[in-house]
Amino acid sequence: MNRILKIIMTASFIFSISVLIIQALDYYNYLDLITKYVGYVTIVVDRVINLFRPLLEIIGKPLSNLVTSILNLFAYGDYTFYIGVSFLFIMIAFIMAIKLPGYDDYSQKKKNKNS
Amino acid sequence: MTKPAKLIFKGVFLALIKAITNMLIPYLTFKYVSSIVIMGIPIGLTNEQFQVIVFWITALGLVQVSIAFAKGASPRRSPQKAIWSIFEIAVYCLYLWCYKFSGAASLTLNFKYGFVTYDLALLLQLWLGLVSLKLFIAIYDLIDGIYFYNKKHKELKGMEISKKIAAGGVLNE
Repeated sequence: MNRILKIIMTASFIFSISVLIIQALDYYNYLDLITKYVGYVTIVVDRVINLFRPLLEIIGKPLSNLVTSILNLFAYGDYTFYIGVSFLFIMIAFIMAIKLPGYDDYSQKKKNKNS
Repeated sequence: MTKPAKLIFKGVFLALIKAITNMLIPYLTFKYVSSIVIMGIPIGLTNEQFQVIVFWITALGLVQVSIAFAKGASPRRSPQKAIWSIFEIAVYCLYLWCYKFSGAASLTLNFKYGFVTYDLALLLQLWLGLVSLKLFIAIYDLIDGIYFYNKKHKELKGMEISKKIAAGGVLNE
């Protein structure tokens, strides 16, 4: 079987099992467990963020001002603009994937190894 | 499977992951928060606030999903992948900030006897700082991608010339 197909099969199998587990457990109980876990993780994250706080605040402040001014340009209550933009991005990506598929360095190295 | 088909398949897979993590999970979480009951007292978001949050999650989530597709459909170590990742960071910043814009960063939970407001704006600001650090990595990827593509282009040109010489094409010309 193709290697990529194998990986896809394994990934979908793992994904489907996790979905089944989530369905088997009560959804709200599962969320409660997550909140408890997040409670433990937050302490560690808080320590790390506090360590980098001065640097992050310097970068974050001007960025937040910029984002606020940009967000004022976006329309509220109408999905047309967002659907149009996402469709445009998908079309560009589709054309680029066909026209410029790249120089597959990884597969060439593999071929050289095998030969 | 051909190379473009592989890339498109990868793009679709990444877009699906993005849709689950950035659209479905936040939506379900806010739905859960709006219907939470503690010690018999219903705590919830106001209907208007919930609708505003859902609009921004869906609108910017759609754009993020399309960019994730584009990023996944670009070949590895290519300049276009780096450009898409810069776009992704920009839209992710907007997406994060929309939580503040929509009022989700200052959650007002209504009790029977009053209300409590959580102000998470500073936390978001810190998170934005963390995200912007990713921008440096994306810029490095862009430089690396341009260098790699130029190198490969030169190599291919060299190979073509040597093939022509081997076939006697250059001598005949």
